[in-house]
Amino acid sequence: CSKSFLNDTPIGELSETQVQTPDNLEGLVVSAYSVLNGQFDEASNAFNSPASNWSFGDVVSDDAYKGGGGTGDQNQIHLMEIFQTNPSIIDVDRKWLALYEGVKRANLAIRELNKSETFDPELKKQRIAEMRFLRGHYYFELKKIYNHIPWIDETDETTDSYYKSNTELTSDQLWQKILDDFDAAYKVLPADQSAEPARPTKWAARAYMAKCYIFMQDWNDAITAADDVINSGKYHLMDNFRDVFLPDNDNGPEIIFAVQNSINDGSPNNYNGSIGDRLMPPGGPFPNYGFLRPSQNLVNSFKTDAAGMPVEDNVNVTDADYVDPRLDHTVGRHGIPYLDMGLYNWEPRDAVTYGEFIQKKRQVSKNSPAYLQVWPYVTSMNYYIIRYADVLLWRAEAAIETGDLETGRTYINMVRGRAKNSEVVKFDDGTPAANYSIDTYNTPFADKAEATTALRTERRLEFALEGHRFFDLVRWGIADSVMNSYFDVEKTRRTHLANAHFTAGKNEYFPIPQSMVDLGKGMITQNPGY
Amino acid sequence: SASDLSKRINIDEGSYTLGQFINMITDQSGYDFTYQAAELPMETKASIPMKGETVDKATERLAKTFQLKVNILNNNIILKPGDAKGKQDTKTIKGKVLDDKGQPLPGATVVVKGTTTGTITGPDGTFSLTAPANATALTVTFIGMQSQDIALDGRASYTVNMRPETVGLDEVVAIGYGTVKKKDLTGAVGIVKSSEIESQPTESVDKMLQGRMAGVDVVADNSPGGGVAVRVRGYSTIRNNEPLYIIDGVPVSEGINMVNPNDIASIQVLKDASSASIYGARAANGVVIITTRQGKSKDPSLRVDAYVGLQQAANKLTMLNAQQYGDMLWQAIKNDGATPANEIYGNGPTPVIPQYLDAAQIEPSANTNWVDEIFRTAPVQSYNVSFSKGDEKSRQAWSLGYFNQDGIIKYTGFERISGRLNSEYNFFDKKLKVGENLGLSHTWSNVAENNSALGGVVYEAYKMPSIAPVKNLNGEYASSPLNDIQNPMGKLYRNKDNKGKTLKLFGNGYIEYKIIEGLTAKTNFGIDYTNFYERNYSPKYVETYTQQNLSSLTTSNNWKFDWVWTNTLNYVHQFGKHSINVLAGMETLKSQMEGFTGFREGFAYDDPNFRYLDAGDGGSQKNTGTGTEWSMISYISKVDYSYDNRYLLSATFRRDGSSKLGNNKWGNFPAISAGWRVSEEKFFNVDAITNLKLRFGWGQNGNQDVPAYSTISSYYSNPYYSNYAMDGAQTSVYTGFTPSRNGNPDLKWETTTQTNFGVDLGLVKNRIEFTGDYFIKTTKDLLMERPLPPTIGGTTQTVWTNAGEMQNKGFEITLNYHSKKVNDLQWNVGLNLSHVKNELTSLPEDIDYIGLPGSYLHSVNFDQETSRSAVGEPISSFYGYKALGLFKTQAEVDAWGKQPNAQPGDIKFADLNNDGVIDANDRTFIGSPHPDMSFGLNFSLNYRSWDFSLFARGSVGAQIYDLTRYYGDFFDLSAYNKQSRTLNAWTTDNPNATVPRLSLDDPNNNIRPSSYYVQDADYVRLQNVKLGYTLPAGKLHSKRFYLYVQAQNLFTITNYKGLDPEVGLQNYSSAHKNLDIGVDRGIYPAARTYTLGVNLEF
Repeated sequence: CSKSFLNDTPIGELSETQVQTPDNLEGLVVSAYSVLNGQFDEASNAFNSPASNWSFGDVVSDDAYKGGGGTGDQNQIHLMEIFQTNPSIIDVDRKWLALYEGVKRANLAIRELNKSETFDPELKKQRIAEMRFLRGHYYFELKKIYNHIPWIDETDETTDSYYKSNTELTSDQLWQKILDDFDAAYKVLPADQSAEPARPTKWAARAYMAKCYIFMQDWNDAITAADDVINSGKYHLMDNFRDVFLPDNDNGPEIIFAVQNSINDGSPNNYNGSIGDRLMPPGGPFPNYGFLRPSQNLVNSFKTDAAGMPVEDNVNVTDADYVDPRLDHTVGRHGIPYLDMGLYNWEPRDAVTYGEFIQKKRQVSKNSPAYLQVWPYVTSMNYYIIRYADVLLWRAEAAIETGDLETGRTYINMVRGRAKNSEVVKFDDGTPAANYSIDTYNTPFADKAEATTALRTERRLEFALEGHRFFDLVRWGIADSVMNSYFDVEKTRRTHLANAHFTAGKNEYFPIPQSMVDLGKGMITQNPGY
Repeated sequence: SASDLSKRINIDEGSYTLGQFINMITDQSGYDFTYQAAELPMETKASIPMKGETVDKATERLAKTFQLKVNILNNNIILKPGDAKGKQDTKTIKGKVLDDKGQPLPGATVVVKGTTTGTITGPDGTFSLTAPANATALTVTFIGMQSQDIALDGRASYTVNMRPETVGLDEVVAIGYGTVKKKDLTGAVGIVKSSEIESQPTESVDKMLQGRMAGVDVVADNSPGGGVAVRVRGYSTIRNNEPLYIIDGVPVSEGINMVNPNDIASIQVLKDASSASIYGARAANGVVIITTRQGKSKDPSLRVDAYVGLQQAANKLTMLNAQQYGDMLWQAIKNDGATPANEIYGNGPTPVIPQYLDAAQIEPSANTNWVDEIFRTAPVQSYNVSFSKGDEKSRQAWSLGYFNQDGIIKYTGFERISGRLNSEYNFFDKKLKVGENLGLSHTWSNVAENNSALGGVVYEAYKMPSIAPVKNLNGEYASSPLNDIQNPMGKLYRNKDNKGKTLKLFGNGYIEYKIIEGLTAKTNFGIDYTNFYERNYSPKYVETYTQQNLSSLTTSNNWKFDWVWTNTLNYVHQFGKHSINVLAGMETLKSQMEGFTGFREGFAYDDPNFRYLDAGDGGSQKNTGTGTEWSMISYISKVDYSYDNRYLLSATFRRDGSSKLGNNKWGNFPAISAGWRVSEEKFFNVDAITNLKLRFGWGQNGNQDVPAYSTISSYYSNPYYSNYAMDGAQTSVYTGFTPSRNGNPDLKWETTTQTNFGVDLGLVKNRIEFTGDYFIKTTKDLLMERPLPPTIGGTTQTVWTNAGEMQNKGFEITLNYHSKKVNDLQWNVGLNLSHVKNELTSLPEDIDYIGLPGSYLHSVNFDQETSRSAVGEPISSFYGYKALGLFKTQAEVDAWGKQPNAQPGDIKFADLNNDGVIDANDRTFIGSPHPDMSFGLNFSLNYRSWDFSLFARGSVGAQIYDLTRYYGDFFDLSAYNKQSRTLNAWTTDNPNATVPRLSLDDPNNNIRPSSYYVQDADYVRLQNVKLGYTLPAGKLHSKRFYLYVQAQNLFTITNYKGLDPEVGLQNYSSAHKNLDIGVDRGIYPAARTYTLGVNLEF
């Protein structure tokens, strides 16, 4: 009697054997996707580990300020913004935890699928390929943020096996492992996943390979991979730039791989929504968290001349200036219509510190059913990890790097041409809200330098506030010069940057979390400078 | 009990005098003999061998042998010569005996002084006796009371007021599964006397312990019905430090505030392991034994206790007014080298308060004192009625209570209705006892969020700008024009109907059977049932920077049912000078819990009638539900042995099995204790010392308090982070499964070993009592949620494990003085004092410290890390940079050279590792929330019908981390109101300031965690002052009529600048509560209360 009286069976939980049924194994696969949005526990601060990298990619770049209610509001992101990042910063910690959570879930699913004798063998191959794709993604993010990372895979079964060195593999070896995952996925995944668009296609895997090659500066492989994706004919740019960022199109023809967000799906607190971005609603009719505020420098970078060519003088845009029409799809400016919500005429939070610009590109209108009217004010619009314009600009970049400037120009113009032909923001009376002017590069680039500048400018304008900018600056090797010259000017505009300084050789990567160093049994080497 | 007719008398075959027989029977039975030696053949010898005779049988044989008349009255055996002497002139004397409360005292012995002529008082306390005409005085005795001599002066009736014996050495103390006389105690036990419990207007039992006994600390969040934590001898572990509550033999784990304090007869706290270890598991943090009232008077008794009172905030914080805030904002912006501008205060050279705060001109500017605004003077009231009756065959007591306390924060409060029925019946000549104690209570509580950085209403009142009016011209709660703080009054108002309702049913039924003389079997079945129900409605509202765009409702229901079944055998035997008491038993316990919540939004009306799930939008519905259960089996044994009342020995052994542990379910918990009553020794001849006892105890207790299923790895679906919209849908997800935890099947019992040395000393006929204890308490195999390397991901980054060690060392001193009664004046003074030194003595090699999870820090500290627990430091010590004051001049900044971004007026931080840079490596431990010394001081005075008492308590050596300064002192969060001390912030004109220069940019990062936030928390608080008056018995036909006025928390002496120097824990129900102590985030201050009360008994 006493034996069974003291036995414990958890209520509502699956045992190690119960999880082995095919349906339950599918559940393990689902949960490996679930953590793509950065939400890995019941806490409300997934904004410390956002899928969109708004803090890790935009705030720390020349595109944006932290925003919010002063420098003390999420003070640790302020420290990131001025490059006084330290290994104890909660975001450094939670981002790592979120990404390794993804790694762990993918590994677990692979391991359990491999064990299963009842799971459909064909489907099993596919599911394992999906898991390798996801693992590749999580490691890619870890690599670009932290650089030196421990590699854990499905063979690491016990908790002891999570103690691993972050210097055991060289940078190249890590890249190769990540590539191997995407390559394995590419070889197995189907070309079409339209029934369940959360799952990557083989072309998504190929596109991610292109991204890896770009980061590795392996230009020739990048060209092959990008060409494969382009030639697959599966993707095309949408006609209207703004349409890309409407919830209705968030699995549209331009989207190669996205984090699937959902709201009102029965989950408590709507944590399946764009939870990492929940501090971004820009005030006024929205709840006023007001984080992620476009920089003056970013706004200025949209300035064009009468011919529609980028000016890049970093002189403040005035009403008389010509601007790239993407500006008013990306940034909320006073006096310009904000989505379908009338003119932006309200005071954003703490404008004294962070200025009047607010983010707009990935903001879903308050009138949209995809916007959650209650806390945590998230949206169901997906975050795009790779969209087709990415592939085109990578192709252009690889071409330019290999001296093929004309191919580069062609692909830049595909992206720029779509912007040119897109609808501009208009007032109610139908007149354009500003002096919009944009044209494609209609004459061949004079030299590689000009081509490179054009490419880099285009990436900035096309992908502003999508979480990529800082990582581009780092892989281009110009983070030091760009950020420090940005700070030189920007600190005269915004006092919160007074102490900002980028240290070359240190700030290209974030520190390894202190908790990882502390708990790593001496096997973890901190990144240089921290 | 002291005397029991069933006590067995053993006398050998030797020949003894009558006097010797009387002594032997007295020693063995506890009965006193009353006789006049001159009348009896005291020196006559006889041989009367007795083997296990009962007292009455023994005296009967005595009487027969010596030809005496015997009369057993209460605890007195009255012996008279067998042949009545010749008749004398007599007179009849009548009177009444009352106890110290003025209640009739039945069963008191009244004899004519110097004779054996006497009687016993009746149920109404009256007596009538026939005394010799020349008698001059009466002697009245009653066990536990001082004997009284009354001069016979010819009155028709005499009223005798009895006083309790100064020292209750015969006081009966409830300990594990039984009782013991105080003089026989070998462990460290704290006692709250029933006189201290009575008429203390306290809403909950645990708060009664506050300051009353050495080594027992009580911290509370001060809100009505809010959280309370009791700490016995410090913090012995990381997770659960709550003592085990045993109410009438039933363990009650939570909801002590559901118990009506008026039902309590006694409270004992078992502090050391030797006394607590009989409770084995779960007793490592001490045991609070609560006994409820039983019927004891032969006549039906009706009691009415009532009080009403008013409470108010004893202290309020001063914030900047509207103009001052603008001025300081301007100063801060100028300090940053910028041109001041603000959407409300304009952009002129000085800030200007506009007439309206909004473009629509419905929100006029104001100068609101938000802290004043949220507080109010609030009533508290309590009414109790109880009926009781008891005799040798049965006892019954039932009571009804109603308690209502409005919070001093508007729209908060606590209400309780409680009922209790206790009864016991004796059958077959008291061989069989059947009884039950049953309590039922229901509470309604509306608790303001408290001491939480994000959302606590007191903190929000600090942060709300003074310029905002309470209401706008449309009569709606106005918006903050500057920040996202919800109008604190609006928030309180909108939450006013969200009351948590708790129903608790707890009690026990028992059968006790005396198998043979001395051997008793008892079976006891107890339950603790709790149901918590709440509908939490958030109406729609729109303020400028904060809003609820859709109304929403969360309905939650939690059900908890624990039962415990205890079976014990108890054998008591005396032979000669030896006395033993053996207990053996088995206990089985099961705890089950279930809960669910439902949620909908989009309600058409805010009317309370519509606040039901069905009235909301069905499309928005969400729900969650969970359940857990666990169980325990325990084997109990205990032996008490005493020899000649001098040597006391007690040993217990308990074996516990818990379902919460996997491969190591069973734990063994032994304890042994010994006492030596030195003052009973023949050689001990110090007149001044009435009582001297030395005590020693050693024992072990267990703790298995880990979350359910911590030993089992399994998978589950967690809707927060395991589901995903695989099909790309916007409003639906596929269910995913993730590991629920990293189970550790090898988890075992955490063991606390405690050694206790104690001394009890009574001086000058016990007028001065001293109790001292020294203890060492070591907890090994600490149950700890140990972090795994972050490469394992964030969902299950921990594993419960046994690791590390914690130690508490300390001493406790209690000193009491009871004065003689001189001219109707009697006074007592008592002091208790305790010192505990807590230290985490070891952690696993790869863990530097135990911190708070990042997710928790976010929600309570705005991500600021304030506390850590590390080896060599007390649990939850404050951690951060060491602030060395402010730089006064640029020259000082330059000379220092280690803070390149600093300016004059910024904080200078210590470079602890002397590497020339101030960075994270320069952080250290900067304070501790644990006091070096806690003390309580009692004074009481009785003069005729008046009584006066005073109670003060306090502590020294603790610190507070004043996190309210995060928003309150720094303009990094410029949009929130600041504390008035910023008016004295550093400027070039005020170079000796202690508040750093104001700055929005804060390039020196003055706001970082540092000792700037850490403040001394020493205080002395006048907790209680009471004046009472007992009306003469008989008023309104009452047996007792007592009136009192009382003031609580009259004043506090402290240097702490926040609202209250007693900060306590962040959250009284969080699993991390013991790692977050003494951080002030705008706590709910203790109320000052004035009370008027009455106790009536008929």
